Amino acid sequence: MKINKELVKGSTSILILSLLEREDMYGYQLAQRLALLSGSVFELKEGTLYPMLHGLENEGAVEAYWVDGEAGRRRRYYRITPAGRTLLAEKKKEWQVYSGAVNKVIGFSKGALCNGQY
Amino acid sequence: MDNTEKYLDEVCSCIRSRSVHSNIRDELLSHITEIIENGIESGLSPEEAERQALVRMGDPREIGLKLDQKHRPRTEWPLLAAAAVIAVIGIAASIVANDGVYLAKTGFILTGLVLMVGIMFVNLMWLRRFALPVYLIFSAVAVIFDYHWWAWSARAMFGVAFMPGFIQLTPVLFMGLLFRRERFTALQTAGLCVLMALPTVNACLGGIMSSAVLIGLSYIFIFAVLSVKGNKTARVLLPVSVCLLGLQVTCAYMISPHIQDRISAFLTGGQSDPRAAGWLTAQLTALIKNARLIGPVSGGVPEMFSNLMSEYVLAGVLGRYGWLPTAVLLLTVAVLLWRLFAAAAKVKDPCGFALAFSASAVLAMKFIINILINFNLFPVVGIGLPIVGGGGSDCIVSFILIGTVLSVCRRRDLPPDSGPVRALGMTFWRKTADK
Repeated sequence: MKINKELVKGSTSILILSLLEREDMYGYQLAQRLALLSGSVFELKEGTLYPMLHGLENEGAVEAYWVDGEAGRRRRYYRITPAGRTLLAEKKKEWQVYSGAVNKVIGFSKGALCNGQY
Repeated sequence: MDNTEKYLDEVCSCIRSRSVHSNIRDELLSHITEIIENGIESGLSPEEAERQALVRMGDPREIGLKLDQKHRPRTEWPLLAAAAVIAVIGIAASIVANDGVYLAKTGFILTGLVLMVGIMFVNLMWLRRFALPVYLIFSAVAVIFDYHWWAWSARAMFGVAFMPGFIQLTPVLFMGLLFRRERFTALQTAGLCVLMALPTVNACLGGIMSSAVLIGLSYIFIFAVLSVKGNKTARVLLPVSVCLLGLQVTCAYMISPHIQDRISAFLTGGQSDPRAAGWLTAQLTALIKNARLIGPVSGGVPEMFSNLMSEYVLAGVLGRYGWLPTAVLLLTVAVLLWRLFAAAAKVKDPCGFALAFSASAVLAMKFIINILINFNLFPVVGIGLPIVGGGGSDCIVSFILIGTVLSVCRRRDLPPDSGPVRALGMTFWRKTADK
């Protein structure tokens, strides 16, 4: 199912931070993992990950370091910082409240309609 | 791979800060290469794999524009505005004082403003690379300027002195030394201590106790904050800087009789010697007691404080205009200091933070010491209210300090060490990796 782009946009940083909370990752790996875990629901253009990652880096939520791999390949890994963990906890809470509210409203109106109250 | 190159060129063409180009190119290239390699492994032709990879990456212009937003130089407008307000107050004070030097004073303030804005556009992170030579040259110049006759004649001609003013920049330069390495050996740390003591010893020898005390107090403040932030070398240097200040004060106290008199005057509220060393203290006590909310103090402003160009510009404002205008002036200073520290706090790179913070700390220390002196809360030392009540070199140094903060903050979203340093038509060094 294709998800509205605007809907994905607001929640990408929480997704990135949650993935980085488990382990340090580089951009390509992050894109793969995102597609895998979400069952390709969040099919965003992979290049757009970088403005978000760099934004999080500016905010001090993540920090980056280069690792030289085999065959002269260099990868820029991202690591979540303590400030990033705090931000993630806040965002998770925010998300719970928000999604809870959305569910309530959707559930409520559905239930109400079924009961024929409106 | 031509299309990949074109793709990367298009991304970078949208990013105005050139210093981030090489990092971003490397990062995106590594991503695209991995997609292509996976594509080839699964049986695609190299051309088809590249085409698909670039489609997966997305619109290069969109990505470039978004990255540009994340990596543009930042201007600290509130800090610039606060500095401009203080500059206007300084010019106004010298015109009101009407002692014939307001043209020179205005010239110094304008020169300082130009320097400040100029420094804002210079990347100061090279200080870390060239920290040792810069620091040694600076210390040597300090010695030459203090002990040579031509320095004194230059002072007489242009009103700019190196020692009391410019030596106050040493804590900022020292931060470059502190961040040259991640770890220092015991011997290197000892070397750092000697280098730290160099200018202050110099200032003491030159009889400029006020700058020595200022630098000593600033070092303690800076190292305390850096220690809390987890800098291991700062933790070693903190007790050393405390000892250094203690040593300076003890030496000064033992060598100069007038400093003993001043300190006794301070401790006794001027009563130890109300006609000489304690005179100022006694006058200030009377002024603070008699000042009105608005309007001149009854009985007239003592001669010493009527000149708004001296160290006692605050006492002068209090005597001439009362408590309310004095409070407004203090509030303006508080806003400037708040903006300085707020700007420094935004810098995440440890060396950048240390540079911005040390510059803020020295300037804050100057303001605070002068304010305390004016309210009889600190022994009398020759430190004027920066920009407003100080001399020419003090004025220029103060603006250089603000410029340092502006410069570091401007580049806070840019990688500190990436990109070449070009000067004199040569490229000096290039570091592509973060670590």
